[in-house]
Amino acid sequence: MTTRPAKDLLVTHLPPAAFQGVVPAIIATSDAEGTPNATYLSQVFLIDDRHVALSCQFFNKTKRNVLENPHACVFLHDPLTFETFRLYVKYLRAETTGPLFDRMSARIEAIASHTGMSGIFKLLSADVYEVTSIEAIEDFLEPAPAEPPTDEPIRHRNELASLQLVSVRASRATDLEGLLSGVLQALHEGFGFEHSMVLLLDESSERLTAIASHGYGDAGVGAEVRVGEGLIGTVARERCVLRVMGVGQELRYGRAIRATVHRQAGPRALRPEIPLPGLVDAQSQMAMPLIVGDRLIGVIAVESRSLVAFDAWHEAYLDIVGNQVAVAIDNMMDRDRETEVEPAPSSDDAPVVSSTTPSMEEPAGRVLRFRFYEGDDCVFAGDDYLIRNIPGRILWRLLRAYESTGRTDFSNRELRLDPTLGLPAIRDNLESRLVLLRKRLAQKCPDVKLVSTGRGLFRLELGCKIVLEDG
Amino acid sequence: MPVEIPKDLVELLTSGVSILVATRDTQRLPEAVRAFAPVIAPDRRHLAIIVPSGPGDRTIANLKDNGRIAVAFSRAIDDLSVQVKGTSTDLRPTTDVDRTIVDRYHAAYIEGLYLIGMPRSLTSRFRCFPGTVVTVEVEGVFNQTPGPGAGKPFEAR
Repeated sequence: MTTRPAKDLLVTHLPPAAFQGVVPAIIATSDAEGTPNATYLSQVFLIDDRHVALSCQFFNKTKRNVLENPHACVFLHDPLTFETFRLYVKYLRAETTGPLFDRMSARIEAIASHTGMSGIFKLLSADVYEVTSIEAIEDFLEPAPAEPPTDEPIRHRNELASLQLVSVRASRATDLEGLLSGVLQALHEGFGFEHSMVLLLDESSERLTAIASHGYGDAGVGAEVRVGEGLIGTVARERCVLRVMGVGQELRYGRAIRATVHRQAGPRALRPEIPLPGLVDAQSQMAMPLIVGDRLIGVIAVESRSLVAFDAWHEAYLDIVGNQVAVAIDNMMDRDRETEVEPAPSSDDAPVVSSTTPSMEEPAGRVLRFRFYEGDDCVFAGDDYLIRNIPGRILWRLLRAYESTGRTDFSNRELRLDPTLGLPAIRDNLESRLVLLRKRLAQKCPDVKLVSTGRGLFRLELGCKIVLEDG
Repeated sequence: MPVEIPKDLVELLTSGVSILVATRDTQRLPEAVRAFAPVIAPDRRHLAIIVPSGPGDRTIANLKDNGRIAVAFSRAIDDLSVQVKGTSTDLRPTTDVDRTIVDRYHAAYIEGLYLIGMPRSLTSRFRCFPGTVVTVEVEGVFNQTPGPGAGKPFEAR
């Protein structure tokens, strides 16, 4: 047998990817009578040089065995190279509260909530084991075929320059839309994050709405996630960073449990699986809460189709970026509120028609029908869903004002003072709602635009005739 | 007392699924390894697997010591899993005849792993041969698909 001696290895020497669950680890145990048991592990969590924690979701045979006989053997693979290790471990204790439990639980909850299994598939305990010895199994694979040497240059990390790029984009942005698009673009250029999004929290509805995305084409903006659902919702609720590699494997595991519960208890025991925004075939996901003081602003999320796209250092750097972005968003919203200009007339009864408003020159002959469904709180453009909740009500208010008075110039301030819109009295996120509304209009009906005309002021520009109908 | 592997499991167990093996030594210290190329005997009370030389050496030593073995089978695409427990009744080195069985199994195995994103360039290099053919007398078959029913005796659907 070809193994490296145990004394040479600590758990912290093993490849970090081996602890990501992409290739599930195997655990062998034995009961007091000497009957062995083999099964997969959901999570092997690295604690320190001499300790790991294993997830316990069910009081199963493995758990019963280690309570009788604390010795176990864990078979672990690096998913990128299939370097293989055996960890000989000894069960010490089960933690059911505390930071270790919370960290492991959040990851499981992200998958459980995605698969409609919250409360059923959950962490019972983080079981802490002492690692008594480690073997590196060096003949698990046949030797790789010889490859011709390449001239590929050695890639040096340039994280500081990348951080600088993000910082410059954030600090030079003049509005929220520019801030978010600039930061996401910089994350791509600097860190290679091809797919990313920023979701902001609407505290009144306990939902997060994507107001900026990168790498999803037209899709993404406007997508909603409830707090507590999926990776992003769990990050918002727990206010912790989550990094999940091998997402497909995690989902398969969750769905296997779901199928078992379905067989045993019937479909009524289960909530439906939740469609979440993002890549349908993502294999790596990482999300970070955006927090200012003790307030959650939103979540920044990145994902990839690669099995192991994000490492611990990505997490640390995204944390720095997230903190800066959170403060920048908050400052920008405060600044917009403080420097808003009072519009000349503030009532729909006193129409203001700019002489330069292109919309008031006869719009083109096309007609676009908008319908507001009050019961569902959403606006359709033609037959297509456009937008819902407060941004939908804002749009409807603007279109109604235009229809009845021909008015095209509006202010943020009058929107804030309009109780029918349902904006929260404090931290109303109006600017982010307008960003979302602008983006949805650009995607779905580009003939309707909200164009900034000064700080806190904007104009409705129409390139078509509109007809408004109540749903 | 040997028991039969349910008829409707035979196809699953021999379809290129992942195989995990647990044994233990005299001190009841457990050992884990991957095994390959299962063959179910016509009586369904015995099965054979190949434990590769090198990674499986301690497993074979344990089996020579006490014979106690657990063999878990898991289908990668949906985690459908069962575990067979029993005692090894025969250990012999692999021969060229076994190579054919290994090759057929390995081809199916790497395709199953490819479906879940594992690159063939890596999985085709799993060392399955040479090794030891372990014959197991089956003493119990248990459901091991993740979920609340895992660990219970397998019931045919």
